[in-house]
Amino acid sequence: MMKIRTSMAVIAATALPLLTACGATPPAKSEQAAEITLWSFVKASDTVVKTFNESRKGFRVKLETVPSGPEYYSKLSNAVKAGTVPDVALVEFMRLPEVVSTGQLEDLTASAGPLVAQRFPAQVRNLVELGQKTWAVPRDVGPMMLYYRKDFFAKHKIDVPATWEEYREAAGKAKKADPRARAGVFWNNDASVLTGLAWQAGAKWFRAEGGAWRVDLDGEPSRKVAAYWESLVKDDLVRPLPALMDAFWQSVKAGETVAYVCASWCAGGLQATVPDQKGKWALAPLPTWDGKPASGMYGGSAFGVPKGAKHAAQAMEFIKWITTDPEGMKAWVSSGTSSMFPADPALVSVVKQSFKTDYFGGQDIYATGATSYDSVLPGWTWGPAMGTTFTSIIDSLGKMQNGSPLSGALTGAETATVSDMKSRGLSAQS
Amino acid sequence: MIDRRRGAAILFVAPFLLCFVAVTIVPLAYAAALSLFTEKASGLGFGPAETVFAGVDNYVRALSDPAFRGGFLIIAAYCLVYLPLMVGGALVLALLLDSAAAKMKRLLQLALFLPHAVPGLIAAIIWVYLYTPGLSPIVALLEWDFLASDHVLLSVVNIATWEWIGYNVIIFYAALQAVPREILEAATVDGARGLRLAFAIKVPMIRAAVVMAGLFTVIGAIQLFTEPKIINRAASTVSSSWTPNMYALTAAFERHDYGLAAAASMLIALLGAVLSFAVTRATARRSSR
Amino acid sequence: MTLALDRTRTRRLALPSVLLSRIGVNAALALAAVYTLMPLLWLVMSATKDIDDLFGTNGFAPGRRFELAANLKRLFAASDGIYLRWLVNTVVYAVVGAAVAAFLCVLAGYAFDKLAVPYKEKLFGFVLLGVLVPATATALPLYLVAAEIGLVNTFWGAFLPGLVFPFGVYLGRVFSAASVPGEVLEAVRVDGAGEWRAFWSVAFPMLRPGFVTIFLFQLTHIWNSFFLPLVMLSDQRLFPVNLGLYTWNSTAFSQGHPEDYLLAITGSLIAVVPLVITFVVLQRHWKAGMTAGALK
Repeated sequence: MMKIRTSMAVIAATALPLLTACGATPPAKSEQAAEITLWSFVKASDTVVKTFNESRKGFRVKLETVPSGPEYYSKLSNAVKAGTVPDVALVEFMRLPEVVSTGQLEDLTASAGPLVAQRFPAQVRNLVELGQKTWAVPRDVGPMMLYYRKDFFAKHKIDVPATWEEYREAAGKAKKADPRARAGVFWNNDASVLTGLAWQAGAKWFRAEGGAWRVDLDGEPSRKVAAYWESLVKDDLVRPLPALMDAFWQSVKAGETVAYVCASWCAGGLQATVPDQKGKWALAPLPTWDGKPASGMYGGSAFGVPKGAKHAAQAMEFIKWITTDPEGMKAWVSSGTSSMFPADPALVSVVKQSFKTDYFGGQDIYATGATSYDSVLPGWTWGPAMGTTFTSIIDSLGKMQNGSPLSGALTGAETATVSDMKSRGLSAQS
Repeated sequence: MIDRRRGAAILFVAPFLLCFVAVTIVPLAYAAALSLFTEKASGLGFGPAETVFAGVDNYVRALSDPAFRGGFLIIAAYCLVYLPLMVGGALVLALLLDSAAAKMKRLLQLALFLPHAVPGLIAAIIWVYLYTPGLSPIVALLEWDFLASDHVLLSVVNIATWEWIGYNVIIFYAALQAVPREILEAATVDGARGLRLAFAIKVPMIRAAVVMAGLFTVIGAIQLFTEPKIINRAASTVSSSWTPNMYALTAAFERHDYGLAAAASMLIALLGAVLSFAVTRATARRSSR
Repeated sequence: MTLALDRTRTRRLALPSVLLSRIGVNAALALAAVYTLMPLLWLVMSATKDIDDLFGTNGFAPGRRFELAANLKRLFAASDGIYLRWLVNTVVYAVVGAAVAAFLCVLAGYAFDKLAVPYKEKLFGFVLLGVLVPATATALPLYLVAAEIGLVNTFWGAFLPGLVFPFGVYLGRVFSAASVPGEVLEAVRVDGAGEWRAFWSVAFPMLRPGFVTIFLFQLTHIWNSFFLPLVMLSDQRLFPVNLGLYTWNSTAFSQGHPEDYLLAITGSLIAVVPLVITFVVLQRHWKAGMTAGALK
């Protein structure tokens, strides 16, 4: 009874403001506003905003949680078209050139250029500085590593692979040791890990050269990577599964996935989703082609100011705080479950303190993360039509079942990307 | 007197029409206009883009894209499986419900209808789970990979059938209930029973409802979107432009090509209009004969 | 009621067919019911499990632990009880929206049937064209138009589009033709009643089953709508439940918070319940409405 009455009161309390808020258009036109808006879908955004609002005077931030995925970018581009943008918006690195080249972000060169140049290493600066302008400030990066079941590898005397050749052997041994177990996963509905692996092999899919885009998805390094993973799938050494969805977690839980390639931020998800394998997992640097440390990136995000935002100066102040201020960075990871790796190397120590490493048997995973981050190959640029590029690759992944080669998927994606860029009026050549 | 009634007629229709124009016609006109323009950037694209008049360019691009045309083939194949299954299945279930032998009719109707009350998004979560090998008890039982490229069409048909069959059953059943008792009695006296009573007497009596359901099934099929989109998230065997509507949406939101998206949408609406015009025309002629 | 009983009785006497044996008929119907109910069983079962059992046990069977209470508690506590707010929003969008929409449809359908609307058939055909326009085709332009007049991310931006239901006008006309006899109207008019009174006190009561049917059609439509609210709203406090669940579902695994997946599942179950109850409670009305609608 008590409960029912409380919920009725809650209904009344929530319905009232809803009804009175009807039709109110946001007035705020003055430069210095009392409140600015943030669009974000990454976890802990609410904590960060709360901490900011409590610690600062002058203005508040209002968080609007948006869904992640392609829908988010369509929402952002709609908002820019309609002039209903927030003041700060989250943009993933891989989508940044697309968002910038469709005119959705303010140029932050004057306000953030020096900061970005001073705080961030080249391999990530490259992702937010396009056409000699700075468009966003990096928050976190996703250097790729190898996740593996330490107990399984030890029990069956499988060495942690340092090269891709050794990885193939390890995968074979794992399968032999337990016919249900696979030491790898091939994401069959996602192209970003494949892209990161091509990045690691030295591919440069997009280059901005002399006012024109050079697109090269099926160059030698990418072909090598495609052929390698295709053969792993064909020999049933890795299992095709949808990326980080229920089927994948089921296989981890059942002990059928004993190793997989993922980014630094995957650690948090692993320990939250499969808590009963605590102490069994470990992280190793990504295997490489020639034995020299090298990695690519999977994920990672930055914050920018959408075109037409009304409070750019305050937005910049907030962005600075959440990306490069130790207090801001602490707020991101205060829940203790996020394994986010800060893009600003100076803040790694801040983040490290808050992440409990007992899931990984006390391993200093941030140290592994840091070496992986250092080894991310510089010079990679994302393309201005990643939506098309990824869609095209993923569509072809579906056809792999019928025997189309993976390298063909890359060639097809290159053609689709170039023609899409050209139809938008960009200068592009393959 | 006449004038007053005319005035009332206008007043009665006006509120709906005003909303209709605001929510459907104005945006549609906007989409039509949008389909004639395209955005052009230059060089690396980091400068501002300008909107230029493209004429029928977007329409030509859509029609000459094999992915867009392929979508219509998928729809045709889909209709070929889905239409008989849905209309036939619903009809059979309605006839069974209407037969004297059926028990617990109200409960059964409700059970069949229930999926329609499940929002598409929630249906998505459920079916993706049930289609996923390793998770789904069904996949293990049937040894059937729902997500294999040769099977996805049927898997999509299945979701749509699950969501809509109860709805059509209720419509057909309601129509059957309304068939005048005298006619059925007369037929029984003439010796019609069981299947013959069902198909020779009852079905023709509710032909209007069946045609209507068929028409809406086809219109729905042309706009097919939610179900394949659901599967697309979990398995790439359904491509991002599997149906024409998915093509339009991908064009708008993955490629930011609103002109192309608008043109594709206009073409889909046009096909829908032509088809349903043809169907209503054909049935009108048959019934007037 | 007696009529229905009578009918069953006469048919039962008339149909002792071998082929349509009682067992066969009921088995077929039961099979169909199993097909429609199984996936819902999964939803119910999953809402009672914790994340471990969700991946570790058969989807159609109960888990090792019964966690429904814990799941519900977490659902209503998440983000300061935002879920309840979403439910309230959805009820406002869907119930109020569908009621207004159904009334407009009945009013217009009645006018198309009984009154001298100028350019009647042309106008009616124009309305029917609206049935054919894919919602995806208008979502983006609708958003841009809404932005022009400042309705984006407001209650009205998500509410107003729900008021239009062209097919409902068609149904309204059919219902009016089937259940409002012209003579009755003439009689009322002779008595000197205005058109509004003739509609409101004579025709509308006769059209009530039709109204309920159209209302329910539109109710499910709004309850289901996802894409338009997605582009229209960014303030979580304005979300309908569908969009909120999508947000949880889309970030659950990618952000490493699998407990959100459970929230989405439990939330789905709770979101389905009101709709099911509505259909059960209004069963008699909408079935009557569909009968009238199917007559034409």
